Amino acid sequence: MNSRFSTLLLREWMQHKRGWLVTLLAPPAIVLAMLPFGEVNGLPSGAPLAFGMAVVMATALSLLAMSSISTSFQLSGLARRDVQDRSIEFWLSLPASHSESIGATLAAHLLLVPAAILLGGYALGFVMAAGVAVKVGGLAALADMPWMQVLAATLPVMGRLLLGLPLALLWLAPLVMLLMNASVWLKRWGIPALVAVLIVACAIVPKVYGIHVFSDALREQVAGAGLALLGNGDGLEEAFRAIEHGDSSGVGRWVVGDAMNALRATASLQFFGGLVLAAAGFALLIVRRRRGA
Amino acid sequence: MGDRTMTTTTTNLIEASGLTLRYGRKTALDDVSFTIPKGRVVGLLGHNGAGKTSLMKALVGLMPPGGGTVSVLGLDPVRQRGRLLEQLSYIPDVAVLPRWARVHELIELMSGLQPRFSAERARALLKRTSVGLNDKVKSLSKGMVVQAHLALIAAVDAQLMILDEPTLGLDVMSRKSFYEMLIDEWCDGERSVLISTHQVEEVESLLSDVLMLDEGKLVLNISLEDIDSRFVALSHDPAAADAVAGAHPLLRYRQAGGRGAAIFDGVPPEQVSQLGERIRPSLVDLFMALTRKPALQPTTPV
Repeated sequence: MNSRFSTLLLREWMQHKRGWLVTLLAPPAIVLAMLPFGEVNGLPSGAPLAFGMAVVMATALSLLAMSSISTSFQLSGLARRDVQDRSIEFWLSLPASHSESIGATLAAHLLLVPAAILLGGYALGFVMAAGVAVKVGGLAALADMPWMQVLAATLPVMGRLLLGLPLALLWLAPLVMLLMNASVWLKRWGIPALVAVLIVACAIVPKVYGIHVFSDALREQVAGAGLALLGNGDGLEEAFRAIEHGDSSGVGRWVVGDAMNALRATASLQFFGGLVLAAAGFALLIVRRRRGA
Repeated sequence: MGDRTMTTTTTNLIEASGLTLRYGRKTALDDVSFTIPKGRVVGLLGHNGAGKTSLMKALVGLMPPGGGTVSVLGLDPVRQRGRLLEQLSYIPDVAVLPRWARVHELIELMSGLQPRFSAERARALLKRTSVGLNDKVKSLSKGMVVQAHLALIAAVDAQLMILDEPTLGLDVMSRKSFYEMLIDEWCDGERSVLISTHQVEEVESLLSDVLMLDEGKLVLNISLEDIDSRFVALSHDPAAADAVAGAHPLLRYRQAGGRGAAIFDGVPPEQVSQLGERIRPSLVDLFMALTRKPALQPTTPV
């Protein structure tokens, strides 16, 4: 990574660190703060390993989901933020290329931060598990928790999720580009226009004309992203259950199998077509930025 | 400057030849040619919409020429924009620093993005101002933001600085501080500055040369020394107004005290010269003379 690109990533951190840290730390902090006053339901009782795995994974995945939802809401604003605060003139006066500038923003918000939140959420999951264990069973439950087994069972899953993140991003890239281009080209009308287009293409056109190309394409892109991130959830559950019965090899097998499925799915016209569209969208963002708008 | 002086490519920091810029069908700059050599402080003057900002954008590669050629520091601004921006300092507008950033963060970012930037020099320059390293841009006044911006870009070891109306909307004190810093910390006789502004009177003492644009055309390209030899201003009694007007001056205007004055391009006829006394034409009067739109300003002085 060249120093300019890493500096542009640093800029993202400087500008957005507060929001990112709040997204990562606030939910676990609130839950931990409320633990003494609330009740814990729905977690496996009498099975500390299952309990630990459930809390750790639930924390990591919940934070990833929250961060993703928050990013999806920010995307349209992100595309125009420098124009809106008039700093675009400053950034354009510096020797960073347009592709580096846009690329750094996308890499930070769509890849690095979700990955960091996932990892941070994973680490916080252990804190949450400890807190919940104390709440449910007192300090004795904390002492009974098989932390190393929880770590051994969940770490490969984290690896699988970290591989899935960039793949899912590639699947969603055309939609991300569509959203950002709508925002930069049509400004405040961008999102309403995009919503209208999606309603027409995915709801009205299939009903009125029986043409399902757009709705099917959209569904497949989203399904591809889901498969890329976490394909066979039931398989993971089974692998976790097997660990409780002493078979710890299931998780590894699941990770390899699920990752292979995700990779195999990328060998499709749908995936590459989406990438071509995303590349065109990226080029359009560059054109717009080159004009200082 | 320009056609008048240096012609060798090695000494010219900017060379524009037949440069034309268009926004769709509208021509922003029409067949403009000029050169800027080393060590000059060039004022780019013109009314709103004269093409100043378009020219500056073209010089930093943000606007492709619709015709003609332009070379800055020997580079093509559009095709070699990255390399060019590494070698020049540019303030595009007033108060465009990101409002979320702290000053020390901007120094850190400039250090990573601008290879010729000296963080140490930027800190030293900022000490001359009332801007603190930990200040957030959004907490600074407009004048302080401009001071901070100038300190940042003056810390770039560049040969050329391009300033697009950097003091627009600032109060007198802020403008004075800005120009003092510019002279003290940048102008060393080797480096050049191209500055566009409306505050013609304030920059006149800084400038070595002037480019004047009027409706996209370059109407004047001259050094300040040459202004005195080329243009003649004549101060005369009101009674001589008709005779002076008959010699077709560029501009007639009224001076304080009720005397009339007229600016001529070249020496006026002897019989007209005898009607008054020769005075130095100010840049403002010259600007008015060369860019005045009678249709827009029907109340001609005198």
